[in-house]
Amino acid sequence: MKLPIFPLPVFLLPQGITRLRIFEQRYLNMVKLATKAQGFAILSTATNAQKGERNLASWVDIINFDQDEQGVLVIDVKCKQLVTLSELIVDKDNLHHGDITHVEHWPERMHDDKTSHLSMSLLKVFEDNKLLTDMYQSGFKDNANWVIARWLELLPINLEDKMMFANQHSFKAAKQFVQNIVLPEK
Amino acid sequence: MMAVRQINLSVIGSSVTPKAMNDSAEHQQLSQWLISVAEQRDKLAFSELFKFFAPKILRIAKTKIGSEAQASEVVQETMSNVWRKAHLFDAQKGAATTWVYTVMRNVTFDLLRKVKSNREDTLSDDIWPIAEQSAADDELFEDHLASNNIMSVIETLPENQQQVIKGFYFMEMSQEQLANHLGLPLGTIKSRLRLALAKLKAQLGADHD
Repeated sequence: MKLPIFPLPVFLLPQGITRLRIFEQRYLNMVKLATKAQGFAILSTATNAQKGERNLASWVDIINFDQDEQGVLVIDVKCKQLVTLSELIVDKDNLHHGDITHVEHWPERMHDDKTSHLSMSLLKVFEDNKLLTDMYQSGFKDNANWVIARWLELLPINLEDKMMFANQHSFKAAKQFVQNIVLPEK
Repeated sequence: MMAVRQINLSVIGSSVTPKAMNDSAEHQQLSQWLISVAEQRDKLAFSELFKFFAPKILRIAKTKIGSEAQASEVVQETMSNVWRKAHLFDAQKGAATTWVYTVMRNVTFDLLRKVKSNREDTLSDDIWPIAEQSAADDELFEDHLASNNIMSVIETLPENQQQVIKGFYFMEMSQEQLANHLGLPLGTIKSRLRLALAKLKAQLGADHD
């Protein structure tokens, strides 16, 4: 199955949501296609591809539409899984499409002391941030994977570094990493 | 070629002196935003600039170029250059609007040149935009800023630039926001981030999970 591709330097793990403004014609076409069919792929355009999968993308569904004051289309998209893209083609509108291959992400983990703390801290971030609350209308999910993934998306580090956590086996490292930044030392 | 250039110069030039811009408070605000972008890479200030200029540029470009898609391209290119070149703006030398519209004019010329030369690389892979570096960058501001003001080394921030031009909403926290949220000094946050990354890299070098 081919999906239209939106290249964007953003790190979006499964169940992560992001908001996009779409004003280029080819990407308006993409939205049209995506709503009729099966969503689209956000190709993470990290400069250093060696650290993660090559052509790694977030396969997203459009979960919300709006227009901003200028009448520009605003969409909220939610990642349903990570994929890699191959067999790229370009259509007449210069929109790219690619075949997708599913990429496994972290297996489900249970909360422990640390992730519970991180969950509370994350909840506070959400409560203080109208945009996040707006986007995550289906709510805050209090489970370990979700909490660590959302923290990683929010933390101010390079995209290239974040890409390491797209790896299926990176949960432990991810948890430790977030913990080292968010939780007090002792 | 010169004729085309002249025509567009005058047409674009005449329509980009917005009446609303007589307001000096607005002038100052725009300059301030440009300076914040230049000095602090301030994304909020850039959003404001984007909100102010994007619709205007789009409207002008649409009437001058005709093609909706190319007009959008002008908006993206212009705003992306504004983000990257904000440090070249000098409030002493002219209004923020003049500067931004100069950037736009250059972008428009480049685009018209490309269209004219009927380039073969219409399928050029902008899907990897990071790899693309505009060779024409250094010439961009000759019109507005004296050549002695053009920096030889141009700072490029492709990641941010891409976020900005694609209209990505900045979900990621800034270091300042994170510091506020955790009630810690910015310095502490910076060193925590640095240390955590160093540890992570050491760890990933040693094993996987």
